[in-house]
Amino acid sequence: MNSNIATSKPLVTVKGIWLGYGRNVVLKDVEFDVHHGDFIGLVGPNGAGKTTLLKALLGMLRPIRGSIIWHTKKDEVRFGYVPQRELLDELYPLSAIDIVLMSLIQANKPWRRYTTDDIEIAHWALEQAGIADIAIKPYRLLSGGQRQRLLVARALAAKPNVLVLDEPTNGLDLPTEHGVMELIARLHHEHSITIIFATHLLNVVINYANRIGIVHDGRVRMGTASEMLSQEKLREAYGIETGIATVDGRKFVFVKASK
Amino acid sequence: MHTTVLAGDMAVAPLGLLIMPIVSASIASTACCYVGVYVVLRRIVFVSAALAQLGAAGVGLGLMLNINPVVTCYAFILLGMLFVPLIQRERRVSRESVLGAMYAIAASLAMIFVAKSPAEEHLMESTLFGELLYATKDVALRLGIVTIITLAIHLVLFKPLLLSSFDPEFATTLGIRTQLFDSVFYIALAILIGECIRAVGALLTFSYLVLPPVTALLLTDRLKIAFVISISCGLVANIAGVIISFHYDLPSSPTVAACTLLPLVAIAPLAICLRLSKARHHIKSIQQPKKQT
Repeated sequence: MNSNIATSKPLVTVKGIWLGYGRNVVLKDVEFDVHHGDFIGLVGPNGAGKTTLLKALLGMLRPIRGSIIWHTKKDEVRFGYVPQRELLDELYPLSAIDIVLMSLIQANKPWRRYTTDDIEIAHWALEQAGIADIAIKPYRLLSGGQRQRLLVARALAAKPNVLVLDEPTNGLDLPTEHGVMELIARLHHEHSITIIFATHLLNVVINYANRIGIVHDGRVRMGTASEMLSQEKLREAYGIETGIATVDGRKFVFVKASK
Repeated sequence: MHTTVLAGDMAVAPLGLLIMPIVSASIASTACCYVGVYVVLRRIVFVSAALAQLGAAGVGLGLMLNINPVVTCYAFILLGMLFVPLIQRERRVSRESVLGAMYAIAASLAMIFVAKSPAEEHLMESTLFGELLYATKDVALRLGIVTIITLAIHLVLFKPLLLSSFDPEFATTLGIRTQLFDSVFYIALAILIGECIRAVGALLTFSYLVLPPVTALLLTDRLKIAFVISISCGLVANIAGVIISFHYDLPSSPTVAACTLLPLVAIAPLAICLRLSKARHHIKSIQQPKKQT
């Protein structure tokens, strides 16, 4: 984790935003910065508002109050978005490469045909995600882990500098979850991609993220990983007593048994 | 809307009379079977059924009030289309329930309007069930124009239309205006349904939109091939249906509608065998490395 990240100029500033749908306010007074090269873990229970916050960052949801200020030109930020894979319908007869190529559709020229360069980029993205061998396999025949890697590959094909992932390890078994996390960590380090990673499991991200935001009770408490991984902060966020252990250099959080 | 050819004359008519019905049906089925693949994939089969019935009710109202049925047909379909986004937002009642209610009301209204219409009986029946054998050059021409426009829209906007339906959130992050493309899709669908109802009836329009696409999607894992299979199934059903209805003096549109099931019945056993063989091959390929170790 890079210690210079926090002192560098922020990529985006989230300034006192309120988010919600219609009259239903989901998050209040959210404030944090995202810096180039950050690996931010947004952690919170299902329905807490993690996806809502991601949608706001991606420009899909307008804040009710407050503002999201990007400190770079609009065309300098290239998002790679990995949605929850449960949202994709396996009824569609699409192969893995068909799905990766979707990333290369241009909003201003949607009728443009895919070029050989596009196809090469798609194969490169599949290779980066470690699934080059499934390029022509139908999406519905892929395993959970392969589907997740495919969605990461699709996001990579857009050559992003900000990768936004929504519950990418949901429903994966332990080795597959580890494989996906290692893939994301490798992309973060090798390609200097800023990562914003939402999950409901704190233990999934604590060994990868340099900053953690706990989304709970309509608030986001954001801080560096070391700040947030204190018993006091976790009690404040979750309202329960927790312990933090380190085994073989890897941290994990557990709930203390009530006396 | 129709020429006054009597069913009795048809039995002795030369086979040349079948060309226009087959041409009209083929034009209608080409567009419907293509768009139908999206209808099935988007899981909006009930939307197309409800819109088709609303169109029929519109035609019925036009006949009853002796005003242009084209106007009332499109007015009803567009009215129904306004409800589609509202239905998608409603969380207390399932979308299927609302669409089912819409379908039932539209079907009832169509029958009531047609029953009270001063038009001839065969005209009323053709409104509800269609009568391909009465298809004229004008009908084929109108269908042709609508088909060309529909297919042009779908071919030019293939990628954003596909992405907007497959993964709208991801499409939004690419800057694609999904609501705009959804609106284009639904308006094109509404116009196609409206035109097809007037030519071949609500029943056959709905059959074209569902059965050939379902057959295609059962047979292939490739989207572009699914379009080709779907259109081919529609064309086979048209030729078989029109010839059977002519030969056995059956109502043409329902006969063609029934024939849209034929390719599925004929090809399904073959598809099942192919899939089983693929599955066996897959299991063997998994087991072989284990044996070597």
